[in-house]
Amino acid sequence: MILLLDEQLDSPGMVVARSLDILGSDHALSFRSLRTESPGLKDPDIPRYCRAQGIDVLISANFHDFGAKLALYEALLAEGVSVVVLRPQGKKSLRVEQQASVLMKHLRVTARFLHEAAPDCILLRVNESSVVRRTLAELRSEIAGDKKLP
Amino acid sequence: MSRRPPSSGIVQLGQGVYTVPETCRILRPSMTSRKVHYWLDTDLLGNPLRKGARGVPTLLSFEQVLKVRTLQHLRDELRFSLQKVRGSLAWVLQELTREEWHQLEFFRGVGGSVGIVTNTGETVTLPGAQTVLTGTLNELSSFMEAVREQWTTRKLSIEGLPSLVSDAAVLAGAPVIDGTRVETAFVANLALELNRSEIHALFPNVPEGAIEQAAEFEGVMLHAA
Repeated sequence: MILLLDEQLDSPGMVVARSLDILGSDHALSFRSLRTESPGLKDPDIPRYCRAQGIDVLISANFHDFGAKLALYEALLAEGVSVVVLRPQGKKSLRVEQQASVLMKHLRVTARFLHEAAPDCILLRVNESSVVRRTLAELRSEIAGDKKLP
Repeated sequence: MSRRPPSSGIVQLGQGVYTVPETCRILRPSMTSRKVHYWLDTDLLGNPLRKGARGVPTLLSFEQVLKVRTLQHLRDELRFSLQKVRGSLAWVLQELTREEWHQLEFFRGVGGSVGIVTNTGETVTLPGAQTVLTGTLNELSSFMEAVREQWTTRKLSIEGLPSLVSDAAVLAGAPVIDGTRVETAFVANLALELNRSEIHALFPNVPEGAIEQAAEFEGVMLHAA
């Protein structure tokens, strides 16, 4: 399974993707970086790009609230791209080391959730302390106002 | 992974989706949640993508945010009275986002009332329009052109910060550095722990000054090395 770090994540030298790639191989996960492959890609082009490149998952980040972004994630899931969303916690920034640290810490459970869900797409919300999983149906229910992410 | 048919959800990719607080941030400094909700409640903007409730934010489309920007400018800069010219403004807002755009030319009618000539030669006298000065009409015409350009490109400019945009097709319209997927919110987040040169080093291809504009938009200080 191939995971693509969104353009604003990682570093020019792809430190995060390269580090995760080594550890991820034990879990059949491979990591790439959008910033070096195709910077400036628009949202509607992401599913097409992922299909062409055999990419299954976009790793993104969210800073303010989930209000508007949930609709974006829902649209990506519906187009066949799973999403892993990094969330900063407290006063910590999502600097490169922190991105790698959080993703590495939860690599095992992230891999399990993604493999269990396949071939369906899921949303994973990842922060320092937890990983929360949502299916497309659960996400739609939440967007409709029925249920809130913990 | 499975390949599903296009989304049947709240939006399609590329359409943009905005909470009311995000709308106010983009249309800073004079836009307020109260104004947006009032214009929604009085039907000037149409139905939101999702109506808000306790703990569930109202979600707006790109078109609605653009209409908010238009109303804001007509009201605050050109001093149009929404109460007096509500019908006219509703008409203008509707024209603004029509697929077939007729460039609108405004003129002073009898007694200083506002008339419009479209590029097909159609003349419309706005019902209930207030009297305006010729200079205001020129400004109105050029403003409407600029807004139409934003509708066509699906990009909202951010006042005073030319390197930043809200592009409906990038991260659903979150404010970003133009031409990239780098969010202003991410720059602010990095500034919690990194100094100016460390942030610049992460984004070597970002245009000069853009990181500073992102920080200014977010109201954060960039620390020197």
